Amino acid sequence: MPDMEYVIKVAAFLGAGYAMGMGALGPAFGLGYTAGRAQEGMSRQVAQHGALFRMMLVGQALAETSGVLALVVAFALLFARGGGEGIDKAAALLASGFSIGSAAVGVGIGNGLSAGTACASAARHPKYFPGIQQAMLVGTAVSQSTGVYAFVISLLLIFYSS
Amino acid sequence: MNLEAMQTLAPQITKAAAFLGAGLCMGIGAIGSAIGEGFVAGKACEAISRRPDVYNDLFRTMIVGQAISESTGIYSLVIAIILIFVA
Amino acid sequence: MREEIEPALPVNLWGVDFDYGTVFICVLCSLILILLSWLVTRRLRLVPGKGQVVLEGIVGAFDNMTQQAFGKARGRRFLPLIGTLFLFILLANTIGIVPVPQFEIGGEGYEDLNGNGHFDGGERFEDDNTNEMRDGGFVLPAWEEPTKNLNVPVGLAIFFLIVAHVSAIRVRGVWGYLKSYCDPLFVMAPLNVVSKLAGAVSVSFRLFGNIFGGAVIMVVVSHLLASVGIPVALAGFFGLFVGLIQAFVFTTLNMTYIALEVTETD
Repeated sequence: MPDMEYVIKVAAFLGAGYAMGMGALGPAFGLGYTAGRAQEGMSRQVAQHGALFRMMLVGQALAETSGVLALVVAFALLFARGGGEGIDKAAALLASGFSIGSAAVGVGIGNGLSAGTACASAARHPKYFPGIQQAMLVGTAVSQSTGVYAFVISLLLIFYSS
Repeated sequence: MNLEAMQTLAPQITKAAAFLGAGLCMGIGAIGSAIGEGFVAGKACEAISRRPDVYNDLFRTMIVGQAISESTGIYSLVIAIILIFVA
Repeated sequence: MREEIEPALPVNLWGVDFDYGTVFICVLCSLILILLSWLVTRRLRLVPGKGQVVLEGIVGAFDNMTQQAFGKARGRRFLPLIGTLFLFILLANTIGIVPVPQFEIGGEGYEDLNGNGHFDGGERFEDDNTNEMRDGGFVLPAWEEPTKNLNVPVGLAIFFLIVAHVSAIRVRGVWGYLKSYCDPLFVMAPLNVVSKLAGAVSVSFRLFGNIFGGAVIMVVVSHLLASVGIPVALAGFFGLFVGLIQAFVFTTLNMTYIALEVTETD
């Protein structure tokens, strides 16, 4: 059997490309949605500008987590592939990229919807800021859980060695 | 296709895969940033039309929101550059 | 083109590799800021001159921001840290607007065989003091943004992560700090940890990616286009506009993360 090391590299590069490509799609939309709804809220309640701005930043920081997880997986695929040769390792690397990339689409959009709607609602009832922020944090974290599962699966696949 | 012929082409096949990955990465990654930033800009216009007196605050929020929304697109750019030049 | 994108002037001090150019320009930025501040505040007047107006504007804006984020007393205490971070990153991002290649003053003469502008190991040199090694002169590194090197934004982000968590421990005590990870629900502790680490990673990669990507794009465009005007306009955009925005975003996000840790939730 000739040396198949290049197949591993091919799979790793394609996986990294898919992971970061799709992994940027979801969170970017989510972050933009959050900022847009926050602006809408700021125009309704000009006095709460600073507090709404901070809530927007908090929500965006949460929503970006899945993008960062995709970045970590892409770097791991490029530079820290782990041992093993052969088609099974190549398939594992490719699948690792698929996993986090596809997951980050949904997680990013969902978290963006959560954070954005939280900002818009907070503008409508500024007295309920703490409650709304807490609901946003919990809701975002729960909806992020499948993204974390996908990240764990990606890492397991990267460090698979036959 | 025999495996030995593919073996001699191995460096080129690796490079080909790196380029495909880079194109995939930056191409799809740009979609989200574009949609997000456009949404922010549109909402900013709407908000400014509603309250033109707070133009400065709204403009600053728009710039910050767009810069943050761009960040995952920048991650894609970094991975694509690494794939093209380093890998 | 690869050499222009990956500059390497490694220097090994005490067993750790440093990049000479990055460290040099970072220290230079600090010295410029110190000098500028000293010059402007030497003669503070009630009716301010131009430099004083600019610095007062920046200080006032950040005073407002920190007081909104932290409250009055703590805001004043954090103001120097936040303001200095902003000024340092702003200067570091925009200092690369006029690119100047690496330059060596003094040193023994050598033949530049492969024409890359500096001495590689195998080129012939005049050995004036016959110690069989080429004694270099003082090297002025290539004049480019230090934030282009991944280590600078990551170092800043790690520093502010430490500031945030140490401040949290000081405010809440160790047990309160550990309890805050279970804040909304107990099972959410690992997600909280991941989200804080992801915050630090994202904030550093955003700054690095914007500045490094801008530099790479300018190199590529300069190679592709034969004109002078377009790369200059691009340099203005990437250096000034993007540099300013990214400095502001980095500062605001770190300030928000520290404020999140420090203010007690009610």
